[in-house]
Amino acid sequence: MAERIDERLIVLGKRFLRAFFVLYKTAGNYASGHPALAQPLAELAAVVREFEHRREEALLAFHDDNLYVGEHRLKPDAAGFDAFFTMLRSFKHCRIGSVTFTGQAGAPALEAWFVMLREIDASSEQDPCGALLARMATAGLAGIEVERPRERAAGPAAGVNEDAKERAKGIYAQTMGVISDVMDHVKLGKALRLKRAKRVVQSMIDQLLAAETNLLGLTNLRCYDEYTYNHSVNVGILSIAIGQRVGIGKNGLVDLGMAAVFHDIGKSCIPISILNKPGSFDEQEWTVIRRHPVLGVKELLKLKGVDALTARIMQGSFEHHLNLDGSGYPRVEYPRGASLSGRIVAIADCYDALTSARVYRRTADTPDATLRYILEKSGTIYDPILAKLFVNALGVYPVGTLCQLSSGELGVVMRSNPDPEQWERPQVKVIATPDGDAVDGAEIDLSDPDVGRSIARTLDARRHGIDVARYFL
Amino acid sequence: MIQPPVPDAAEKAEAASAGLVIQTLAKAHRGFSMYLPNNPLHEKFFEEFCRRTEEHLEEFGALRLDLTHDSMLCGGETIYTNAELRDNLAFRLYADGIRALRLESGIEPVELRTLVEILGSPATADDEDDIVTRLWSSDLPHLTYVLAEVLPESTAAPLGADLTGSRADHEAALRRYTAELAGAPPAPLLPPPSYQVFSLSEEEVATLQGLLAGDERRTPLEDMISILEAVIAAEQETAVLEEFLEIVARLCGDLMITGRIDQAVDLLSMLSRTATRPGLPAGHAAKIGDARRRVVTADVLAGLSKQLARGDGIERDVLRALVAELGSSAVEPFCRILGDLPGKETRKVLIEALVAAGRGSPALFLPFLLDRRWYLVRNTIYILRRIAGPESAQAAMRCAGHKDPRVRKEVILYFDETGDPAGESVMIGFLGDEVQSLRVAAVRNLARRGSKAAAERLLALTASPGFAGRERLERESVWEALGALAPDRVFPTLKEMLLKRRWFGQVQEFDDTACACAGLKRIGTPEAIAVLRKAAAGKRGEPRELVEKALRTLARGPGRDDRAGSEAGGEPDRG
Repeated sequence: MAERIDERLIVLGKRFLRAFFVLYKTAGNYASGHPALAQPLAELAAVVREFEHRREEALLAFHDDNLYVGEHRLKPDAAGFDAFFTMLRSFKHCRIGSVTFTGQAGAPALEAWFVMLREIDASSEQDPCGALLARMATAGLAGIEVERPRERAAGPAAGVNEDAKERAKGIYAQTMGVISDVMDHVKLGKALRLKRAKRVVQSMIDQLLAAETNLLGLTNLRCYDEYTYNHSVNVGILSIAIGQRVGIGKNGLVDLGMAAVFHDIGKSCIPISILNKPGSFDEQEWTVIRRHPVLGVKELLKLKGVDALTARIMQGSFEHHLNLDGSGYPRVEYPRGASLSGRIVAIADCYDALTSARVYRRTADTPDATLRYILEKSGTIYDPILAKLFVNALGVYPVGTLCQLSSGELGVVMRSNPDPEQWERPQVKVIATPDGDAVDGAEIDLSDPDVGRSIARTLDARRHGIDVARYFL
Repeated sequence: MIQPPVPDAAEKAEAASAGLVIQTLAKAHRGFSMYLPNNPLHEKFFEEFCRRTEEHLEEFGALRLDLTHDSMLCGGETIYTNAELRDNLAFRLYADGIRALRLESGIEPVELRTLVEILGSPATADDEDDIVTRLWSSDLPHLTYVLAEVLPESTAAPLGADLTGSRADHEAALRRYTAELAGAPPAPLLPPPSYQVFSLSEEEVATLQGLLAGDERRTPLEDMISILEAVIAAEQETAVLEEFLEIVARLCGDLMITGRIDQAVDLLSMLSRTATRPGLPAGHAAKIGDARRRVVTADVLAGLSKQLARGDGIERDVLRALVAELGSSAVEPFCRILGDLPGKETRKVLIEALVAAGRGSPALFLPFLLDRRWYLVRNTIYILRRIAGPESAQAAMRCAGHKDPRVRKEVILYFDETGDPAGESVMIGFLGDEVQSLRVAAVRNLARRGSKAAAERLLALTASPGFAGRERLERESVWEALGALAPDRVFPTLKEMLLKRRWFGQVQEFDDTACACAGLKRIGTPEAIAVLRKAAAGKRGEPRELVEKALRTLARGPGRDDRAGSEAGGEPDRG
């Protein structure tokens, strides 16, 4: 099979970003001409040559809070986390749209350019990009082109966003539909066909890779009962968002997504009267509930048999309540320990469950409080590295967080700030005036100094029956 | 009746061009399946496809195809069809759920190559590696498709505002909450943790990559087995445990029927391991054992037999491992299969596996000695010979009168190899067998046994009128045996046979010389050697060569030319 197009570009793109970042950092620590710069310069030059060899442009661009190599959006993963966000911040701060290197740019020009970038980055220029361009012109640097950011088109972009939102809603609804079908099959003891589910998960992954905010926003649709399967869809979305940051490949994300959306498949064997019991469970009912991981394994084995996909789904079902320290349930001797998928699904499951007011758990925690809980329990219940990546995926104020702004207005977090240093300044939709009057306010970027507002406190939306999900539909 | 819209000239031109593209695609597809990549036609066809696609996209912007189960349509016009569904490109795509395919302008040759390769990949029955998944995971930015499974009309009800509460309630809630907040001054907001807290250290990145790599190394089946092992070992509810075991036993059988014997072996090994786990709840081991015994049902047996008869794709080690895992419970069903297997190699492996599985339980094989198929009887005797026990000797004796000489030969080999004392009478019985080779084998066996009873029978045989008419090979073996069993009594006869001068009858002389040499060589005393030397001096030609050869053998020492040695050892072949 021919080499995949994206694969080679992604690998080269990541190498490009890493080389860019290392040189940027080194140029900040060492004066021009220092021997420590030689190696990073050589690496960047080698990457640029590789681009030319492949007849591609060595172009790093910043647009819509994303970094691109050529036309391909780079996705932050664990290994490239620092490089990604450092450069994202720098480009945003310097208001650089893109930089392109060609083979003409020798080591002296590259070195001079990175020193300039560091200096501009540290300055408080009104027009940093303009200042950089002026200095480049004065120095006569060859083989390096810098462009200002592309303007966001007003009308059509909104249309595109609406389309993406509608697509996300379609995928969400379809996922609920296929989960419902599969659960019905389990209840009836009919053989399972997971092809359609797999297709939907593939669409979910495409959507998350392209623009994850829309689907992440929809995870605020929380279920009150066990009929609707919102929880399963949410766990699927959140798990894929983590898996993407772990660096799991596309096919691996399908397995993870399937494991996540069907993690509660064993609940189809538990009487609905227990699952939807209003109020708390007694000990006997808890005993029944705690059987669902094992019952899920049994049903999958019975109705699907032995194949790779079933095995992955089985992991999600069996391991999502197994804790990192060996506690949790089912109580079994399991020397292998929970798999990567199992650990990811466990975090996503916990987050969605605690932030939902479900039938048997009337109170819901706020998203930020739930994140704090997961971080507190990381190392004992949850994998600490994955817990960190989960926060990376959601931000410290996850999408859907209800908050009061410093202006007294109420707002809902619509989009996390992609710059980790600005996490406390997400994009917020104003939903009520300081007097409590509902408004269809604009989405404001709290990191924009002109906005002049910040989050004063986070609020518990459920306590007063405020359903933030409506803002994502 | 509503008439379909008549395509205009532009649509017709587009459909005609699309038809040409698909023709070249079909050709490239055939080229990829028929020719090696280094064959010029392989690339030629592909380049034609690329060229034609490029031309189409240049003129029409995109290649838009709708698919039915056997046709491709462009703008409602059928541009491709093929009555032979196996070779039908539309069918391959349609069968995997693709209902429309679109190639966009800017598509690169590498994308087109991937498309042709994916179309040429073998069809699979599972969900794992179908065309859609391959297209999806290949990241082809200029190729899009519409799937039956996710067509808008097949979705669940669309998401709507009904999932949220009423607007009035919501607005009231906002007012309530704002009022409550107005009365409570905001608590100081905790500063959110620095992003550094959430960025991964190099060590954490390495740990994560290790975890990822570890996960990728494990096969899904290994994971499944780890889970099943944990569940079965710990399950306290008898009904659930039994259901699990029932499912696993059934799955093992299904895997065998469908030729995934290696996976069946893995499941069986898991059951074995689990059954011997320390601290297992009482009764678990017995239940697991029962489940293992239930694996091979009549259906499984029939299916497995078909799989083995095909002989393709079943590795010998896997078959061996399967029988070993099933242990003695494999004997009965696999002996049945043995009777149906045409392939000699597979049969050999199965026989060896049954030898290992049946050690200590020869009685399990005995019913198959009564089978009407001679080859199964013979193979069973062979297995018994390898795992001999007292009851198997008795059973083998009963087969000495089997009507097929190949079975009777196996009986001789049985007693040859096992040396069972009961074999003496069996071998004496074979002296009267109708098949010469069996008589010879019996004579040699009796010689090795030093059977005194046989000596008398053989002496009587040499004196019988028909003996002289038997073939020289047989007569040689009898004289050789007598040389071992009754040397003093046959020495004079052998001496006379060797030294007797004949003026005519050279054939007779050669025969007598050969027989006498065989006997004297076996006696091996100085007197015998002296007789051989004397004969060597007086004979010429071939008889002399025979004598000299016997002398050379004796000079090398005893046992160097022991034709009466065991003939046992080889795997029987049903022929």
